[in-house]
Amino acid sequence: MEDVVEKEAIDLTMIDEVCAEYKGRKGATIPVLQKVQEHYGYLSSDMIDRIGENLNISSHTLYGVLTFYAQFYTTPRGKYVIRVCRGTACHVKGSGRISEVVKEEFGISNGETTSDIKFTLEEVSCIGACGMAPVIMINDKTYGNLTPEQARSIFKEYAQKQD
Amino acid sequence: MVNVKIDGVDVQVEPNSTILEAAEKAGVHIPILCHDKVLKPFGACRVCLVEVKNNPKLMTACTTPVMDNMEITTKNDKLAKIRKTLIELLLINHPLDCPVCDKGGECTLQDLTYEFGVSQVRFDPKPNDTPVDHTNPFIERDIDRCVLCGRCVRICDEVVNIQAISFQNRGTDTIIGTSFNQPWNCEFCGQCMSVCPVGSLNNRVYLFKNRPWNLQKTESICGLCSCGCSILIDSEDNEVFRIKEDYDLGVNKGLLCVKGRFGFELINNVKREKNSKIKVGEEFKNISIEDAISTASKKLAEIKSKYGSDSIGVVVSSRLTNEEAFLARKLAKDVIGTPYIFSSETDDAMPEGTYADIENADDITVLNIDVTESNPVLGFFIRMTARKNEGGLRVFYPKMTALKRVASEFYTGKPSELLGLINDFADAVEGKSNRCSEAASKLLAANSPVLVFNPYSKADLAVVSRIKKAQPKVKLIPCKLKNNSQGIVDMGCATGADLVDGLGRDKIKALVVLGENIAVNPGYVNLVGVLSKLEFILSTDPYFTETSAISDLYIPVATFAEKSGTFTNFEGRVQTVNPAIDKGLISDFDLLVSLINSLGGKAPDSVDAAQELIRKEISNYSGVDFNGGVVEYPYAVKDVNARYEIVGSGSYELYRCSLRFHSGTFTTWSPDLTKVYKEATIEINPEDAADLNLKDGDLVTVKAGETMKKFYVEIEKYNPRGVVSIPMNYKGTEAILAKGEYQRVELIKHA
Amino acid sequence: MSANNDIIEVHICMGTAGVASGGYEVMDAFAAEFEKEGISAVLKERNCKVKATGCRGLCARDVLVDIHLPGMGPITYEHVTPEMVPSIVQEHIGAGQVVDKWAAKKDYYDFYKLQKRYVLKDCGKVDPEDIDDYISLGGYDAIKKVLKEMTPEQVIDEVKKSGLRGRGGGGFPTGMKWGFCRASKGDLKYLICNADEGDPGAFMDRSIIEGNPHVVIEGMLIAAYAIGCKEGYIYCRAEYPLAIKRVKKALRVAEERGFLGKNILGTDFEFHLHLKEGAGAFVCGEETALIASIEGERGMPRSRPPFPAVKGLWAKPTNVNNVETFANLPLIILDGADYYASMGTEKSKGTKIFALSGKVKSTGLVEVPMGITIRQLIFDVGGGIAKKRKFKAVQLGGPSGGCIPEHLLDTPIDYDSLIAAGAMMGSGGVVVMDETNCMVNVAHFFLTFTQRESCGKCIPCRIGTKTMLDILKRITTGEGREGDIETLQDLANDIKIASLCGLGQTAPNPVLTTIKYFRHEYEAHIKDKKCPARECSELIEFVVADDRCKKCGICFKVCPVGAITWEKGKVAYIDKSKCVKCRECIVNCPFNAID
Repeated sequence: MEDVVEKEAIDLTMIDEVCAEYKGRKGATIPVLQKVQEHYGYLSSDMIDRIGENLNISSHTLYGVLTFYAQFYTTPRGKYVIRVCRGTACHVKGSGRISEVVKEEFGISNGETTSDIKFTLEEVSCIGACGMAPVIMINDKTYGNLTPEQARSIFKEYAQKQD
Repeated sequence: MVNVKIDGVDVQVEPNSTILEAAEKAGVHIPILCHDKVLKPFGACRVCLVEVKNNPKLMTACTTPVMDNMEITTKNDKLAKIRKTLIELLLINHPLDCPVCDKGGECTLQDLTYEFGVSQVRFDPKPNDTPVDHTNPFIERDIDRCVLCGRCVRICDEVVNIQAISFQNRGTDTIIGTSFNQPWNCEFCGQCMSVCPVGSLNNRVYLFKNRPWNLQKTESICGLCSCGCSILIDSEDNEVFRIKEDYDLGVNKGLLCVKGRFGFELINNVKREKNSKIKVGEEFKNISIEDAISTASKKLAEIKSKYGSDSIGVVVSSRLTNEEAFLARKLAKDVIGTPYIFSSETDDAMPEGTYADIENADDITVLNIDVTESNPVLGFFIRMTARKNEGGLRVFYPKMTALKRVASEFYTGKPSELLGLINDFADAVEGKSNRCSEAASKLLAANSPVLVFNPYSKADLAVVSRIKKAQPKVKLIPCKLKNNSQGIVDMGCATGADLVDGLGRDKIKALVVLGENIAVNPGYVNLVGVLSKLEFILSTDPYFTETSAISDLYIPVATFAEKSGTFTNFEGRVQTVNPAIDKGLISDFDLLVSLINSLGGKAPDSVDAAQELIRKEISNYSGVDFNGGVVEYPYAVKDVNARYEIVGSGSYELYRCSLRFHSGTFTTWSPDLTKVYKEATIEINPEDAADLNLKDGDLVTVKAGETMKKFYVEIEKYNPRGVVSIPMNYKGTEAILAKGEYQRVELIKHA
Repeated sequence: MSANNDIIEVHICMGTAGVASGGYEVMDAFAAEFEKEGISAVLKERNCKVKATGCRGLCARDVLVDIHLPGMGPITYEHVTPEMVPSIVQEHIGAGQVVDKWAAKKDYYDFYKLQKRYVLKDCGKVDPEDIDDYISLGGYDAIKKVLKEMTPEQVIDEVKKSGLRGRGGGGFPTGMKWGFCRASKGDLKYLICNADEGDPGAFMDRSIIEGNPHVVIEGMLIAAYAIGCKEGYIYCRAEYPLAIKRVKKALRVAEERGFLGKNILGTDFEFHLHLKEGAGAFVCGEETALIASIEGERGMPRSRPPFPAVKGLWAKPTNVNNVETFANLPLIILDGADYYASMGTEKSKGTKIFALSGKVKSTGLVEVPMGITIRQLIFDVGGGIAKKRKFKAVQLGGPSGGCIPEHLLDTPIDYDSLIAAGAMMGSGGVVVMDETNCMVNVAHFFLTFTQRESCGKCIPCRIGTKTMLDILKRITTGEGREGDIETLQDLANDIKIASLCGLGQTAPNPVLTTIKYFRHEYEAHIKDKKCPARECSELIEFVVADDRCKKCGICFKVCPVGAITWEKGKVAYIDKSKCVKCRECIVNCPFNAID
């Protein structure tokens, strides 16, 4: 029930400000979605409606746009987003195994978030650090040249973080 | 012109034509799936790939413009192979449930499979299996059958301008749907369904009722509002199964609205009365139609001889054909000899602007009417033009309407403020400098401006006539209400005679009510008590209505789908109505012929003969083609002197709004339309609702002076604070709305 | 470069890989060390400058640090960690003694030997966040020259003469492309820099932007002047936060300095440049999809014609080039088309940057003259195959490219030869595969990528690639059927011909080339239900081959689930009931002893 209360409490006025900044400008859709997501961490149905109202765009169109791009999320994301690079170099160096380790540790597959909203697994296209393959990123921190067991111990470390 | 050779056929086409258009001209068939000529080229399905000489790549015929001396091959082994593969790929996921699919027989995928000879699929079938979506009351959505051609999304965007659905996700996960999979809520115009090439979007009113090859098509004109849309009535055994569009046909260019497309069950409704009824004491008794007609003529002759010819009044509904209205006037004026012909129409404003004027407009003003509700197809044209012009649409209305997305200027507000603004706008157009000067200067500078307005509001008419004087270039479009609102004016049934006055002076003893449900019309609402004192009321209607209930003799009559004649739409365009079915009922025309003849007159013996007479007697109809010709009118708007007035007192300002789902009480006989909108609701701003602790669906009493009436609440975020609205011409609203166009009311919440 | 002999410069590689390997920590360590007492006394009179530079290519050895001492050639240290910094500062900078054990060896310099660092010449030297550094190296001289001495037509002619072809993949002649857009009617034209580099295994555009953003801006200025564009966009992948940060800063500073905006360099040339962040869709690398994305729509490609040069962004004439193409332009202007055309082959001029990755010793970013062979690229520049394994194939051109087998290694790298071999230049990803890579699996991998990135608009790409993938999947899991190879080839050809955009038209390439060159591997999967490279888990028995096992016990150590029993001096045994088929044992066995 706490969840519900929290949801209702989200203040969406920030959206009006962002939209005001882009009002009348062509091609505002994606930058506005990016800014709103940056602020709230994801994009909810209410947020989309509010953006649509402000920019005078159908919320269905907006939803179509946001679901096209991998960068946008419609559910809250984990505190720690584990991005496993699935680029070619990482693939040939065994990044598939690292995703499996995440699954083993946290029970989440690509795109899923743990129920305590602590971890999200995201398999990403090349993050351009092929020299250090296989590579993962946890939030902004990059870990390279990983073996599955090294990855596991990194995950365990994060799992124990209390903050 | 450029020269193109297609499969060896030389053809000359316009320079910007596509290969597909050129092929059509050359008589060469190119298969298409995602393409639709009403939409912009998309090039997604690849079925129309053709070979262009000296081009290593295959080109899509639907998107590629022709070039001079282009040589095109549309059929060879390579193309056949690819087309076959494309269909094979689609059939991997497309369920092969053709035997139970409503689209069977008119499905493009089925046709292409057959055309390309795809007798087996090399790949393992993996039919989609998602539950069918029934959130839309009129359109069943079966995404399993969807081929993602995007026609529905594109027509909703490019033509309807509502964008109620969109492509979602990416790649194989792509589906067509709504934001966050919300219930599919839109204007329900069904344009998406009309262009769906497969059985993905289906007409729920027609679903599983018939097969297309059994249906007979009758071209006709919709009998619900004044747009004058061409329709195809699909029928079998005197039952209407569906209403279809033809994108090559009519002023509406194939577009239809929710009423026109989905409301047709009102024609088939089993509640339709089959028997004439006569009141005996307090009860009605069935009588034969012959007896009914002779009773009627006897009664009328009797009253005429007893009280004089001006003791009989004739009320004419705006739904009658021109020919019927003409005979009604003939009956009243020439046969009975009474001046009392009544209708709810006026001749204050006459048609001027046409659909073409909307399309060519560089500046559109929509004054104080929600045209998207009152005349939905006209609304589509306004939206398309505004979208194309990227602006040039100015709207005055208390709340944001569906024009919001394309309007460049939208003036909303409480009537007490908005009406002042409208006056200022008129002042500004007349040259006065004020807050509306910028908007006015745009209208004054425009080359082909159009003004769309509500011809039933005297105060609006006053503004319109001022604007027309100051900017004579502006083409006026009066949003007439019903299918023949204009025609009955033209046939002389809008005499300006006042029924209230006639009854009030106790002059009238008998009424002939042709199709009008006067008992619930706000214009006549105060008469109901008086009416029951009349000696004789004859009423006709396809249904036994509230008016029938207070009449002495009731005769059930045909609907527009069962009769011949013409309607004149808001453009002043006369169009032919053809009978698709026969329910074994007479039409008002037949009845009027009998009455005229039995009362000593001489009626024309057919609709054709009536039309001959109309041409003779109605001067501006004399040279008009009754199958699409436009009537010329001596004036567009009369000099009307009226001011906006807000009557009554209370904390809320009430205005009348229009209903997309209904056209008067007639459409309430459609079980499908009533499913979506059953009873009149009061629309209220969310904050006001919160103040009153009201939710959607709660009951609230509206108190207007001494009149109190309960309504269900509908929260409407666009209604301004302190403003409420109730639909006009809807059952149960007449007592309140009769008080005035704008009024102040109190709201009382129920426990 | 330390032009001033008194200046000691420490250059730290701060590309993404540098940062990820701890570049900032190393940088802090240097700063801290310089602050320390004693050392500061030694260095006091001399000006020490720690400079963050862009990628210099050899990412596998990050953090790379160059020490420039006056009167001494730069010395490079590899794999630098903060712990190494005190020694480097004290011994090398303080005492002039190179710390040999950490200094780069011959193989490091071999990496650069065959390279022609031309476009990348300043990457790794210039501070990407300092416009003055760029200017001091001759930056913005080209646009000055263009505005002062050349007409737009002359610029286009010069670019045509240089033979520059688009570096984004297709290899369309750049000058000709500009000519089309210039010829289009309209006052408002757009110039777009495509920095939506999404190919797995390619990161050259990222390195250029991160390492030298101003060169891209300057290249765009030249193009804008030549074509007549007033407005421009850099469309950069959002997954490149560092690149975005640096472009943002570069745009701001360039505008402050009068290189962007109105009246550029005092002339009436006007060019406004904006940054658009992508939102994560590979297909947006396709120019019409990119345009749709900038317009705020779903990035679905549009049919051509009309070409963007006629009707592009917001229906205005638009020219799109990629980052590397723009980075070539200042060089062409300053060095002249003749010099530029002297590099490379007859039809492919200049140099090309490649991202070398996979099973090659020296992974990283390399720039070589067009025309060197694939063999030279992999074995001379890249140092050959890692872990003493055997070369099997190289995927050129990313997921749109093709797999080249050993017998074609002497193919020269130019646009046309690569296409003839079944691959393509693409954006320049080079992924090297060794004998442990299964080619069916590789094809499956690439197709998984393109299929996932398909926008879904056209049928052949949306359903066709998925169908191919399903067939590949069943082959790699032992469910392959007789005829699958032919079906794949047939479908692949239809998809290539019928797809709407380049993504679909090239998606089948990895499958077609692997079938062409490694058909026997497909057949082994289908007929024998065996994966010769032992990569497809479903087809591996997971038994230790007695004859090859050297009893080292490595497999026992790496098994994550304890399914392997081993005692010193004995052949290992795999308990199949516990084995989860993770392949750790196979990957780590030095003797290929697990079947």
